[in-house]
Amino acid sequence: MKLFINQIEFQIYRGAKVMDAVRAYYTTTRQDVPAILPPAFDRYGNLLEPDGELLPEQRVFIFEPQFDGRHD
Amino acid sequence: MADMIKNILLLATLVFHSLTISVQAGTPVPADTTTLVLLSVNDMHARIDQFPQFISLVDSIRSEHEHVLLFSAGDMFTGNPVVDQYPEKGYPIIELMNIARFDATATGNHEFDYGQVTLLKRMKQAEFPFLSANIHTTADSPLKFRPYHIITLANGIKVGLISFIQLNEAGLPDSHPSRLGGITFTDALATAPAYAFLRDSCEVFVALTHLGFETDVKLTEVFPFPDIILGGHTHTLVTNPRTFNNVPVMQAGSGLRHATIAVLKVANGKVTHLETRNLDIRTHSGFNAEALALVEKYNDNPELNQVIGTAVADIAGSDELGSLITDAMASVAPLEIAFQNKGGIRTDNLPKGDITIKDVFRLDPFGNELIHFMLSLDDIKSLIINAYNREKSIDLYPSGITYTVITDPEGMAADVEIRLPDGSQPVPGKLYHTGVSSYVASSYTFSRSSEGESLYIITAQSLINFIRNKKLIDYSGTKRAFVRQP
Repeated sequence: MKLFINQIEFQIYRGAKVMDAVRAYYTTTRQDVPAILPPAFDRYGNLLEPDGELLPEQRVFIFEPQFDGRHD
Repeated sequence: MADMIKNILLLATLVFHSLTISVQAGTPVPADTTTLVLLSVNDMHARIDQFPQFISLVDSIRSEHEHVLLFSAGDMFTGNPVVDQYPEKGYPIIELMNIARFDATATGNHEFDYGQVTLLKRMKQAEFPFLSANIHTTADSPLKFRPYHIITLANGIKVGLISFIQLNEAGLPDSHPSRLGGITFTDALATAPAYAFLRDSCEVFVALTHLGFETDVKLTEVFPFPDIILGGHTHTLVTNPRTFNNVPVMQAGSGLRHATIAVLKVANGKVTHLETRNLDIRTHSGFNAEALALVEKYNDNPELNQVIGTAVADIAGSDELGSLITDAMASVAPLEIAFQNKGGIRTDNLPKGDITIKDVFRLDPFGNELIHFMLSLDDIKSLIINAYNREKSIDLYPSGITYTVITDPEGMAADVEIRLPDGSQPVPGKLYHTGVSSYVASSYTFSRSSEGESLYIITAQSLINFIRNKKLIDYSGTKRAFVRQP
């Protein structure tokens, strides 16, 4: 299933939940997975609870203090 | 792009804003205006602890308003062992929903998790209908879902409900396909237009959906007829309600922490004013005494102390406990090989003697789901090597194979030798049905030959089933992962 977190596209298994996608985002971008995951939001600014189910091609946003909007 | 993300994050605060829509703003309110309050929760996931507060909140709203309707937007089941392991799986939350006097529920994907026979029993016990317009059973199936439902208020006003369930890329709701046999599902967005007639059959029209927020937004494009969409599935907590195609779309998180309230004014056969926002149930000060007593009774459930097997000797340490967990995972079809990470093993010892359901949830408390990948020998090696190199020590405990990590002079894994139970080597190029927890699937780096899919069973449930079937459990001296320096 294709997903986007902070505009990074990646694949995740079918049935993944929000917290799985956030962890996978850190793994995909070669960052350490934080012990406490940041809150996630949809494209409308609504809070997505960690055990929320995902839709294909859903766009999710998380706050990363060091993130400047670019991934090299 | 950074600005866009900042804007989204700024927008997202936990202050609940309300949305007000006045269809006839500035005009006098007709004398025969009816005030209707809609309350909706979604994705309760068997979390019964909040019910005493929730019912008290609903009762307080009912004491203030003559016309109050209470809805669930699906997924009432799965997520709390007290409810999921109850002998009549799921019954505790049905009983509490009956006490709360729910008027209708959408059918969510997790409603199928206990199987169709159990779902049918729960539907018969529920004093409210299960709705879905895109679930189709055969004529001879006792399992029936109403596509829509019309409630007539005491003053004759009709409130129409339509409901749809989410389908994944395989065209099925997110539950194990084995639980969905004999049922066909049609795409919600393609099915919805056939129900446009409902708009003229009622004064108030509500879509009570289990589609996920973004699909609800898409629904407004092909089906802009409801006065409001009360949705579920993605556990979205709407803090800044807004309309899409003039339809407000609401969702209230999960776990019965929040509820959506919509206050509608109905006059001259239509909704003239609508105000909606989310409420935090946990801030309500009252408790319903009947529900409180019931929740306490269920939480004392002796079923969790039910003996499901016997440990022949202490099952101690990560090798033995990890082997037990992964043997349970690998017993779930179609898995041949399974891995459990060290951090997911939460007790040091299952002592000799009785093993209870509570013991299983102490050992494996996280509710991780079992994820199925097709992995080649190289994929499996990459998983083991990357896992080892996280802490320069064994991190994954296997079933279906044994392995030996070969380290370099710095102590990093350089290679791994893998053996099948008969001592042979896995076949290069062959893909093996491999299971890992959802935590490992999302947090560990490994190559994979398939996208992967959830088997929609938590690893703790596979362990309960395994111990129940095997009865006598003996892992004395079991060790399947080794390290060798060259």
